[in-house]
Amino acid sequence: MITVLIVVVFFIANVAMVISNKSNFKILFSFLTSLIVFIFLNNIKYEYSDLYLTFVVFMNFIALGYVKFSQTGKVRVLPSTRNRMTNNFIPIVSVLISTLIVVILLNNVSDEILERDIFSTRENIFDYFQDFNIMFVTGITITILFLYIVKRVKE
Amino acid sequence: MTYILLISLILISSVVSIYMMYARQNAVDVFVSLSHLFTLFVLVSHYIELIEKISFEGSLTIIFGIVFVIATLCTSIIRFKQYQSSGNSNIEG
Repeated sequence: MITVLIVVVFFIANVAMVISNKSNFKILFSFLTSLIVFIFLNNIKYEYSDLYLTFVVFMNFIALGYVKFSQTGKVRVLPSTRNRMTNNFIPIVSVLISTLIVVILLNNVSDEILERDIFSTRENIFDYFQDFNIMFVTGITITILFLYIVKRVKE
Repeated sequence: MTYILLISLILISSVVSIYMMYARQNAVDVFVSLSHLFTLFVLVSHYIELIEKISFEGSLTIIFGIVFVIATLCTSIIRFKQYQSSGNSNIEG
């Protein structure tokens, strides 16, 4: 029952985030949805949910810093024309499509078969920090992104 | 029941994030959709853990977290540069 409540609150927060106009409210509702996902992950006993919360807090902090810095007026922004059609139409369509998909999915799947072995013991352990290839690709990606940031800042 | 609700959370966050990436011209939408994509990746990795009965030991969460935080930083800097040259229709407020 409480998971149904969690998903209903998650959906309401998503709608509020999509239709909200101000950036602060948008970040606030996005953080609310992330907190709901964190509660959900805690509820189904995911061990590394605090890591998830840490990264989400950091990303929201960067976004809020961007918004507050752009409001100070230190960066000059040129005016341009406002696109009203895609601004207001596509988020509503996205919310309707997600509602439809969730309703279809919840209608046709039976619980008992799926729930039977959900909390069974983990047999294998894949720690990707042991895999050299994945760590190599991650390191290369982070290096390229860092060099790109440095190049952009220097311009 | 939690299984289905996990799937529904994954679907809602994926659809909202993908549509918010293209829907508006606001920069905050991109940040919010990036954090939702991170949520989506974490949920999908946990879903894979539950189905295949394996454990990633939190390594995928760390990798995706670092990648998405750096992507957010990159996006903010690129947005500043682009708005200085071409203009912004939606001032953040």
